[in-house]
Amino acid sequence: MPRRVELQRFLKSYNMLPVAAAIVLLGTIINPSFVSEFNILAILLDSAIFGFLVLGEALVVITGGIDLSVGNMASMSSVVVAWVMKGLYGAVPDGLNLLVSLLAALALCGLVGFLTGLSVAGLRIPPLIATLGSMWIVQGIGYSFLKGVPTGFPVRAFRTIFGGSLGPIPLGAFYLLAASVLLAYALGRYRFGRWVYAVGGNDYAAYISGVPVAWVKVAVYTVSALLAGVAGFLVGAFASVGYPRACNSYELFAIAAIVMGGISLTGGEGDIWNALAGMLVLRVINKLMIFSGLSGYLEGMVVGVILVLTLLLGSLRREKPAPKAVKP
Amino acid sequence: MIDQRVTVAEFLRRYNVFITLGVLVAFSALSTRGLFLTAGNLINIGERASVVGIVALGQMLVILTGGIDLSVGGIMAIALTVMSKTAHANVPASLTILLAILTGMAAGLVNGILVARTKVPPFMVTMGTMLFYFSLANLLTGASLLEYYSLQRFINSAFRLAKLGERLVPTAAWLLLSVLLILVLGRTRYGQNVYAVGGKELAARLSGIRTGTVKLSVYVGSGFFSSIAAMVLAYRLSASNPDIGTTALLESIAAVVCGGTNINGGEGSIFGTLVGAIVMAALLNVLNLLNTNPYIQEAIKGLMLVAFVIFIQVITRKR
Amino acid sequence: MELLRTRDINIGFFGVQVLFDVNFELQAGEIHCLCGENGAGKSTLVKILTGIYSHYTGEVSIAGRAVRVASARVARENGVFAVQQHRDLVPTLSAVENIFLGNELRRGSMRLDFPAMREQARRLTGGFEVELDLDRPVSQLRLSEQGIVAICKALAADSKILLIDEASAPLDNTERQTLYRILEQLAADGKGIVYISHHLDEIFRIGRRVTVLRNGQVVTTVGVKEIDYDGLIAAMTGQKKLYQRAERAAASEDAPLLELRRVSNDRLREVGLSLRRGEILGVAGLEGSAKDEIARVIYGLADFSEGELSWDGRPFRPADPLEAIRGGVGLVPTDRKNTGLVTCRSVAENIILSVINKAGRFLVGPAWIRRVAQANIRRLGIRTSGAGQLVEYLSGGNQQKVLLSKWLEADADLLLLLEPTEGIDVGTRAELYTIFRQLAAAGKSLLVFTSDIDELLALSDRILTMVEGRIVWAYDAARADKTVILNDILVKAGRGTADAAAR
Repeated sequence: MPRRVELQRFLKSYNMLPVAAAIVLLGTIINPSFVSEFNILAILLDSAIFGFLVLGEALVVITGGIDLSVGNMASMSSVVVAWVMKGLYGAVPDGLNLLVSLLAALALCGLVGFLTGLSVAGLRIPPLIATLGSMWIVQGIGYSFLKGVPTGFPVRAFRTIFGGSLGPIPLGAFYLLAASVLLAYALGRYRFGRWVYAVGGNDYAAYISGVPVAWVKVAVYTVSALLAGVAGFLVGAFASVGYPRACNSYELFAIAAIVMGGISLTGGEGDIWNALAGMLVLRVINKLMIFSGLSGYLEGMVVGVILVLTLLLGSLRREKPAPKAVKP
Repeated sequence: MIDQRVTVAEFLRRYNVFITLGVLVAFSALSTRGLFLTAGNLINIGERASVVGIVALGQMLVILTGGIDLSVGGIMAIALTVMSKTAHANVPASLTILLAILTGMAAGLVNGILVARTKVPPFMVTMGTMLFYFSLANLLTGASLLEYYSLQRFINSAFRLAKLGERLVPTAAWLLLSVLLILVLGRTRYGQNVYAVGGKELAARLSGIRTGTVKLSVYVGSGFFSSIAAMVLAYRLSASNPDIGTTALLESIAAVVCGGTNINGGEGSIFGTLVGAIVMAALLNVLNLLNTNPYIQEAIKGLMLVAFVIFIQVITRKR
Repeated sequence: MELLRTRDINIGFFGVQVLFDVNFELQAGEIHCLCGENGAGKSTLVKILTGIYSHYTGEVSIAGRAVRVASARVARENGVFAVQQHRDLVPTLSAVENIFLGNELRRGSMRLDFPAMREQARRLTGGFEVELDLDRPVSQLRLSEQGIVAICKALAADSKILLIDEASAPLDNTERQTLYRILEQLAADGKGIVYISHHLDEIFRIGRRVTVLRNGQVVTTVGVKEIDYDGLIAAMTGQKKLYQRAERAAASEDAPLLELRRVSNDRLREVGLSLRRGEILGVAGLEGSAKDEIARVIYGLADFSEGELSWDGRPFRPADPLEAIRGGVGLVPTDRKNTGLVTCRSVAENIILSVINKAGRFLVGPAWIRRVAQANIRRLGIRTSGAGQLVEYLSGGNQQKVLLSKWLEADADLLLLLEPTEGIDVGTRAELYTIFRQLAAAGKSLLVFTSDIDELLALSDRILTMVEGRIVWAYDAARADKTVILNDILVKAGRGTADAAAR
């Protein structure tokens, strides 16, 4: 059936980018000022933040796991940066302050990610439960540092580095691009990448092939947490304050983006560019709805429907039918 | 090097939640100097546990079949919305109750159809519908306050409840529903089928079970329980905003998992889930009594869930 | 030169000891076969040597040096490599990636050297004379191709000791010959090969020595020239002969219970057969013969586009298993642990699972369940610590008995048995055969699908041979010749009449 194969091929290819372009086109038709510098900036900045979350989540999902804590991890990161920065302000040169704040946030994120990874790999706790737990823990930490009070970032350099822009393009977008290229390169050209896919595809086979499965898993959760930490920097700079509820439910959109980008939740396959493109689509939809004056809540409904539709399409495109019950 | 720890490990795995409860009760009684064990406080715990406990019943049903229902909070939200809107429209309370239940079951039906008829994993389906339902609820109410006075009055008068009786209603409802589910799961063909589908779906299908129907039904069931939980909430609070169901999701999963139900399906007891919900409520209660920072409470909830699962995993290491 | 030696290996799981003082030794340049029934401990030994199970007692020495095989990594570092039936491939990765997983070729210190890997992969797979698509995910390859990839993975690892565990199963005849040739070449190059197989003829074909395991103990280690077929079986089973053909009463002369007439779908080609009450019909065929498709059609798992299926003279077309069960069919599938039984549930709960759905029984109380289970445990002699014992802890043979009880409870008139004694020890196998014959004598019909010709000859009244979806011939089992039957199913192009319903 050539028709079906073509459809499948199309779905498998970089299908999200044209979709994003189509939606932008739609938006422009509805209202020509949709493609304004302001709007593009907003979309790209949003995308930068989400992008880091998507990269980390994609990595985890490819190994067959899931990470529900990324949203709160980003919030916590912004809180920690604000807290440390405020504490050290004046007592230390600004440059050092910035460095220490960022490192402190990353260290904390990395630690939590590392421990989460250990629970999943070593203690065999299902990733759903482990990251649920770490999500709560991180939420609690995020609250406790600043007692829930949104706090600003005294060191101006912080806002410039993470919140500034080059023309219409926010710097965050460049950072995301750089990170994506690095990650794609690592996944494609280094054996670690093969290992990540192998662990997701069949961790038993990976184990007996000599792949250090446990360490691979620990690594991806740690990296995911670190990337979420960086996302937190961007969030903080964008909002100009660090506060705990900043990225509530962001992980849902990250997971949605990944699914739309064709990464299978069972692991072992998918590429990050498509996931990023999926995220772009979601962001464009978001801006389009805000722009059209539609209620923010409608977006939730739309994304929910899109998510389910994408999954339906995805399950249609599986080339091999599910294994039959009775075998010879 | 032969593994000799079978029986001890099995015992611990099955009963660890009860042991935890015992330890927790002892710790709480001591640290609050008996305040924990007063009748008033125990009723408090019952009230707190009841909403999540009821949701957990539905969640457990779904998890037993190897699925999960992330949309329970969203279903609660639309049930609350329906109740509030009908209350304002002066619809009789008995009809309100019926409508809320039907809404919950309809929402669950959507989940069930998607899970049973497509290959989309339940995790993703219910994540999508969660988003959808929550947004719908917020959209319809403009995220404003919802009021349910008439519901409270109706039930109080229907059952002729004194002040004290009023406070026991949530707990009573929860225990009643739990008993009902225990009977259904333990003594009916449906119960056997649910466990079989969760245990080995393929084998269940080849044994003549219509697995699609079973899977669909548990989501309807979860919707049912979520709507009842919403009613209990409405009864207790008489006013709230629609988002109040957000914590219900995670706590219901925690209660189910800590109660010893296997997250992959096929094994678990209602009683364990019951105790799991009590443990969570008791924990938060004692933290409140000890005047712990509310933000720390979130963290402790998380730690407890993780600690629980670690414990179970460590003592039952399967080779 | 001694490559590998184990001394007094003992290991157990959940309080049950599985290997007892196993002593084994492998020389360089040798193909040392390991055989024994299922459950004898062969795979366990392999898993110990490859580091999957590390809680053993005893010594392992490799090339004279004592090694504690604590993990898969340790095993690999010492040159031990196993090839197991398709479980050691990552389905989402390509053949190239699978072959070099854990063993990647690198340019410089870190970067992967794709061209070199593809080149070597091509060379290795080429040795099998197949054109393999090296870039598709292996899940999309045929089973035999997957088997080849698994073997090439072992070859690429350049290991000194190869443990081949049932790797020849998915291969066809030509591929198998190539495998033998490659193994013999490797042995000639000085490697040591431990070859595990159920196909005893392979042992005589390529082995130098053979070690027989029975119930976790080494029964004998002997040169292949010093033992014969019967001797091997005797060592494996502790008995002389494998199957006895028992005389049975002839099947009833009534009209057939089940009839297929020119049934076709995308896998079957005009299949016809008829089965009377009390009759045992065997279907022989290799992988690719689609013999299981017949079972699937009868059980409501597959539909057919042409032909007729009738039960007791009336059209029968179940839309799903429940309808087939209500019609009186029961299915004992191949992979009983994953498709036949709900292993995390108890013996009792498994036994009643079909009957309650067939009859639509609403209330299912624990007392009733226990009663039914006890009756069946007694009736079939199921060895279990109780009706409440979880099925996963039972041995293969007893699990099969639980499955049979399920269908006896559900009052099935026709039993579809797929590879019913696969992985079951000979003692229980004999018990099962007796049970099958008793069922037939009681008027039940059995349709047995298996690749074990001896089993078919011992059990069936008639035997059908199938090739590529087509029934080739029908034989009277009492007078059939094993070689003729084997010949039928091994030939690639089907021959013989389409409708073999004629006796």
